Amino acid sequence: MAILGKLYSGLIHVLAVLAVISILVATGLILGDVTMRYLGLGSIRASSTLIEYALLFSTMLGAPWLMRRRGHITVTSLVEQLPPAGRKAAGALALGISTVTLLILGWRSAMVGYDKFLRGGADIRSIAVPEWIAYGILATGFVLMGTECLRLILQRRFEPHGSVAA
Amino acid sequence: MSWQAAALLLGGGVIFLMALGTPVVIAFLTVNLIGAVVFMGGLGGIDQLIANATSSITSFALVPVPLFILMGELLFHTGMAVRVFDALDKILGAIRARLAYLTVIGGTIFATLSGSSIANTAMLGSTLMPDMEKRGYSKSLIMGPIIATGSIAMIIPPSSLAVLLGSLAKIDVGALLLAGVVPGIILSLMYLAVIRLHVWIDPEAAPPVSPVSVPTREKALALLRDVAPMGLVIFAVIGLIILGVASPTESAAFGVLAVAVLALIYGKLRWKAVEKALWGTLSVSVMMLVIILASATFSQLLAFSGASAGLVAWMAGFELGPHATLLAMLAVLILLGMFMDQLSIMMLTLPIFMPLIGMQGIDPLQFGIIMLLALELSLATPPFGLLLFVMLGVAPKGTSIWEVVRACLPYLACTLILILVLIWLPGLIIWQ
Amino acid sequence: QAETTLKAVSAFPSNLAFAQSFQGFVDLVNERGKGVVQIQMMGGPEVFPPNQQIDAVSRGIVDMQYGPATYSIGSLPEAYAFVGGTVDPVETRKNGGLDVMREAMLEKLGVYLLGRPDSDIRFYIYTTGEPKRTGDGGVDLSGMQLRALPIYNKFFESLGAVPISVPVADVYTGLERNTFDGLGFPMIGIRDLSWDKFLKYRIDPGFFQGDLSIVLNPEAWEGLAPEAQELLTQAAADWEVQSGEHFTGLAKETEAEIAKAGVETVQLEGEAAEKFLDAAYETSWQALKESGSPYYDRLRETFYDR
Ligand code: NA
Ligand code: NA
Repeated sequence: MAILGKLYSGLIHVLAVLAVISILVATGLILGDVTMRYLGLGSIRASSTLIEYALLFSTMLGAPWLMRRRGHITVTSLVEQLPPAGRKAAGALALGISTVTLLILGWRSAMVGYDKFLRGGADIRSIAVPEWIAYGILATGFVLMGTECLRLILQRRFEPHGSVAA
Repeated sequence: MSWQAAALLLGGGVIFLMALGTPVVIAFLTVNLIGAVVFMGGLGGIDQLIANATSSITSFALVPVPLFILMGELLFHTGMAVRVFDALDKILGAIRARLAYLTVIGGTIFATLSGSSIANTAMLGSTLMPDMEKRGYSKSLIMGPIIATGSIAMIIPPSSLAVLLGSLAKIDVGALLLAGVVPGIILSLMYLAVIRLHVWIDPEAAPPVSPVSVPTREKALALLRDVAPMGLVIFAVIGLIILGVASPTESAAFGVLAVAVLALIYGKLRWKAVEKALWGTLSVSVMMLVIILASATFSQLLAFSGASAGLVAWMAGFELGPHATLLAMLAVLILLGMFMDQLSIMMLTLPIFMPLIGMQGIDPLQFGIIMLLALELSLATPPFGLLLFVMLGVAPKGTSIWEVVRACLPYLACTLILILVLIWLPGLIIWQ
Repeated sequence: QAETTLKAVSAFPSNLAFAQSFQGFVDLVNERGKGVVQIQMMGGPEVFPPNQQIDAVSRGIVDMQYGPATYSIGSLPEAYAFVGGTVDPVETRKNGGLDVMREAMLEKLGVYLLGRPDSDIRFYIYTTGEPKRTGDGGVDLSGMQLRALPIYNKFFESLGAVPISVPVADVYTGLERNTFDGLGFPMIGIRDLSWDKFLKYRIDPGFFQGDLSIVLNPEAWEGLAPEAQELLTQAAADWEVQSGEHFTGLAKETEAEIAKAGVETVQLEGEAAEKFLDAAYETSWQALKESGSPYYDRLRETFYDR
């Protein structure tokens, strides 16, 4: 069980590292693409598509990590006016709703992605990208965000919380 | 379902969930889920919602969001921002409330480098606040200018928010960015005047200074060594656009490169600093982009349910003139700005505002700048104001949110006055 | 039998010429179809992203969609036959071409093809600098970087140009600052985005054909009364003719307008023009062939007569 927990935490962290790498790759691709164009060497055909997908990657792979750090924007000013018991109840309700929403979205993303995988369609941009990839990334992000909420419930950490600062 | 009921279900649902303390992104996602089932029908509706979400964020126009944030984080964590302030501090010399002026001047210069108000405010707060406290400045004279100037970063280009606004509202992005320069400078001049007024009314707010004379040579050296090289960053962001080397979307990457190169030259490109900058970037850009993903589909749902069309028809039905329309929009923005973040406000209002702008024949650029300024206000209005929280994060223990709000009030008034001028006399500020 | 209402979406914002053309079709159906079938416009890209609209139809969230078939080219390579085609809609209704395409769209996208209005549209290459000419009267675009949609890539490359992908939002600034040298776009609509301000040359002849189609959810289609099906089919056929005439006129008007605004025409004549067009059309058919589509032969036969 402890090993599973470690693996899970490791996964969240590894995905966040991938998210950071996506941002860096996007930066590098823009620099390369513009430089080549300026020198009259043409353009990296794949770059705009890869950059667009890098946005989705960095966002959805970084989202579970940000959830763990409780860094998603949250309005806590109103529930903070409640007495402790009310605050706890509101927090539990919010977490319950979050878990259900995220897991449903994760499930449907996976199903649509699987369907797209079977059909083999492609998203044609500057290059063709298999359609299932975007859904797969969404599914990963939503499911792990959902399990992060579930984790808070299991640990009975109901206090509303959210970072707002950079 | 009538459009009023649809609007109430969708808008009310989001506000209720946010008030409950559900993360903003999940509040949107939950209402999207319910809305998809109600208006589009069952699992198919949810699947469609997810499909729409994949399109909303794989958009080249959003690239500057993480890149501008990365640029600001690098400037901050490598300590180069502090160097600029130290140099400017020397140059300004012995003036009462010197550090408050410095906040505004330095913050405005930083605004031409950074596109993120959050980064700008965090940078100003963490570099200047400790020093000002030590010297006995009053809290309001410290925090007001920091928040006010911090938020200018999104008015003066580069501005990721202006880029978003331009692409969402189909306003020419290049023109919108340029149109932000003059209002940004006017605001910063107004802030300087407020500080002067503040120390005139309450001299105790800033301690008297004993004149320490710094030789002109040393001033020149500091200017040359620590401030002038920042021109490279400005050139990378704005110059490359003007020269036609890079598009406005692409130039952000060159800003990152320029900052990295400068940091390398200064010997500040340490792994620890880079690592901190990268995690900071991930955190802020995920925070913003994930809300874009969720709220973009929210506004599509709002449109599909007929709620936005109904609201537009209703607002248009009053046959307000252009001025009254802009005032009504301002009121809506201020109201929403108390509770919502900027991106969500844009997503929520633009589908409704843009047709009205078209109908009234209002210049989209004029509207764009007014919208940006109103969004800037929302950063500092309670109960939900990002910059208020950022400030609280760096302020000494025991500072209450109301102290921060009070400190901001005179500066918020400046922005409000500027908006009113823009409504009636746009020609004074926007030249095309 | 009660009146059926079909919910429709369009891939274009309502202020664009194409969206207005579809509105014309909607009005036609609503007038003829009183008591039988009506179309309710749900909106444009603000409702569903254009590239997700076909899926929305196949899922049955809306009943009808109007937009470019090439948006689905990743699943429907057969859409190349639309752009690479030369036969007009009236003829493809007669010669069975429309039925072949209908079969392909039903299989690949899960939608029923009702008709293909607005097909009389030509695409042009616009440049900011004067294109070089070849010895035989053609154009040599080598060294030019042209903003391209995926469907033009191969053709532009065959002319020596480098196709680059630039988001719509960046095109204006890109042209203003000479970040790239030109683009491909239909005659109609080029003024909507003020791009003609920076474009100085237009290469004539135009190439390709419009790829706009009206599709329906198959169950919604099957569920219609025969009378309603007949009415929609007839309206689509009529609108293909009417909209064709409308766009031919509009293209002439636009051509005169942009010429007056100072866009110079680079006219290719005779054999050079034929060679230019061959290159354009062949790249489409080549792409369709390479996709291994079982519909290739039948589509080539019915859609192409050069
Ligand atoms: Na800025
Ligand atoms: Na606020």
